[in-house]
Amino acid sequence: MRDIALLAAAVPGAEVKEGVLFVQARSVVTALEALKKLGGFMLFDISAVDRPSAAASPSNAPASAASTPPAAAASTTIPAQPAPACFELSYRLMDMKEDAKDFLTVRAILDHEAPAVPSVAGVWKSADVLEREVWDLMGIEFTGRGPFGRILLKDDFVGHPLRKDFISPKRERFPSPSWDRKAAEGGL
Amino acid sequence: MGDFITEADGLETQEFILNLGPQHPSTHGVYRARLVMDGEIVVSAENKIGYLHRGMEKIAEGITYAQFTPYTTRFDYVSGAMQPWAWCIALEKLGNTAVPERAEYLRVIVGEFQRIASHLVMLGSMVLDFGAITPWTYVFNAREEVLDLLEAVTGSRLLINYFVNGGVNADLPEGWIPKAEKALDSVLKRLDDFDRMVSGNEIFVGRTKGIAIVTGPEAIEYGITGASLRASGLKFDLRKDSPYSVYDRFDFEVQTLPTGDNFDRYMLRLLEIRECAKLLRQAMKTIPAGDIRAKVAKVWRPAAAEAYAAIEAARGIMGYQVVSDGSTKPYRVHMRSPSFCNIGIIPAKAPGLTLQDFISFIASLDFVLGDIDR
Amino acid sequence: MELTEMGPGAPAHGSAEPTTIFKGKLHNGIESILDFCRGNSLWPVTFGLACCAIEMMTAGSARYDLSRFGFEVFRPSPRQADLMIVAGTVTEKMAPLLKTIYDQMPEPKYVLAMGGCAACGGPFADSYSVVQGVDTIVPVDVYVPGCPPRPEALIDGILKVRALLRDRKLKEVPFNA
Repeated sequence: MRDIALLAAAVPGAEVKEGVLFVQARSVVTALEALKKLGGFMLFDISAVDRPSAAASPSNAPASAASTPPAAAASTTIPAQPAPACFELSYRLMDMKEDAKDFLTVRAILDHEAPAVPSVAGVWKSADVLEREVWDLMGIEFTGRGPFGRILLKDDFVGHPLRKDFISPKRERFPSPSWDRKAAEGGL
Repeated sequence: MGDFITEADGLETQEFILNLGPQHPSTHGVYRARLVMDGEIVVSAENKIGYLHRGMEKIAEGITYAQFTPYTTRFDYVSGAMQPWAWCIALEKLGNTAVPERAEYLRVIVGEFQRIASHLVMLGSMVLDFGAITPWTYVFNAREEVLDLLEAVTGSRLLINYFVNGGVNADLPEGWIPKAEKALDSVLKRLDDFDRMVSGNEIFVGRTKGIAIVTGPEAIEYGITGASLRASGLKFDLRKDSPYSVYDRFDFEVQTLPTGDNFDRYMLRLLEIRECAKLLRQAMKTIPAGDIRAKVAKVWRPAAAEAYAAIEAARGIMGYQVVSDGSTKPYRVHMRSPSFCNIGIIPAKAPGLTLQDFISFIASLDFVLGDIDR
Repeated sequence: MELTEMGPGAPAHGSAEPTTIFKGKLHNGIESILDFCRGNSLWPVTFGLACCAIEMMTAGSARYDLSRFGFEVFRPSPRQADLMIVAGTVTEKMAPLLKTIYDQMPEPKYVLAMGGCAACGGPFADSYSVVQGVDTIVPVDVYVPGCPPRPEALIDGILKVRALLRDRKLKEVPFNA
């Protein structure tokens, strides 16, 4: 992959932390446009992580987590960083230009109460379905694109399942002690 | 096409909406396309998916890492070895585990056999959609030989439970490699029969050549990966370009084809099967002795970190983002599904195709709904 | 579309209105000949949903050959089928369509729940979007366990449906029918 420092220089307002390019939520579109102008990238993944509280993002990461395992190919591990309640939205771009191809992670930290970010569907067409999935499952608003409905869940589904505070409606219909246990531990 | 009936004849046509799926011959799964048709020609198409959304990513947050490994097979169930492989690579990155060499070779062998089986399903299903049942039986019979081999090693035919965090969980039985070599010969011979029967067939060529051409830049724009990308002329295969496991030790060519129409996407998978066979012979010849599994704690608590593992699965780039919070259960698992991005091109390319060309187009893209919907 | 969940008192299917105009022993005789013929040509409707669909396809292919029993004619249209093999996970999005397809099948019709997911939700039972077993929506005659069941197990399951057809009074099919 091209040197991340050079890429960060091409993107206005980006900073590199632990091999990840962090950008402001409001300048995601300009960042991805700048990367697209450099050429040779493919946006192949958009994903979000829900961190509802600072406690859920532990700050003590042992040093071993940051080293590269012997047979590693695409990217090393990213140790957890202390952060307040937020949504972490990651865009992954595969660098198809240089010889040792790898991918770049561009990350934006979104507010937890009202997560919203401008849509990049106008920049990369692959973002179209990827953003719809992230809204569907995580509830992150993508502004600046036309209205869209549910893509993976049924049309009248209420809620965004992958959020940590989501309680499955089925639990009322089929109460089960194992579900209560799982909910207490933070899954389901 | 449209000069048989003209407006001068006074005939008005009306567009209508046709739901293709979700219940239709079960080759691709519960995929629905909402087509607006003008007679036989598709005016616009919309993907309607989610009929198999099982909430795997949420399930992962409630069970341990090892317990989730069998669930990963069920994503892309036609090539059930790829997802656990990517998952285990992600876990090994999190835990900084070194996989023994023999285990890597075994993973490559099982993975490549699974790729052959998956491509055979695609070839058979594509011609089955055209109404050709005989080649489908040929290909599925060849696939049975591969599944027999996989069953001998892993214990199950379709949804294998073989990859574990740190290696694989079973070694090859005695006498497996000679049997596998013989089976490879037989599969390739059956594939040649299939090739002779189908690839030059006038009807097949007429129905696939020049249909739904996807150019290289378009494919990159839409995030298409895998055989569909290579059929558009781009030489991009993670096994060669960003080698994981022990792929850098083998000598194999990345196949590409120039045009990017349905025929090229079909032909590329056929060529890839032959290339897989070449790779497999090398792997089976040079497999070292040794451990098949690294020592990983039974109650495994990785460091609080995040890992991303991307492999070249049978359908494209399969990626796993695993976020751990230091406990025995994953904090967040995100799966980058190759088929999910591949279907993004359908609404763009469908207008102007006839209905039968649309069927051939989605067959050539080779998506699997378990992969799309997770 | 409202889906009412089936309980234990669900109406039986397969034991439909009489198909002949004859009464009594003549009707029974004709009906049993018709049942014998139906049992030897059970046409499944293609309802493959997930992984079990692949095993269902291989059951129809050359090695496991459903055709030797007369079952290989998978009809995409439910109006021409008499057996619905629910092969795979039923999600809440898919459930109304499953019921629609079931309703469109003409009597006598049978349902075979193939695999763990169709029987009880399987490994995904506690997911927020999975129906816990297709028998909450349609009455099921035969359950074939497995994840996925081998093609031989599926064939055994369909043969049990055939056994049900041969003897309408059977409440439960014996193991080696």
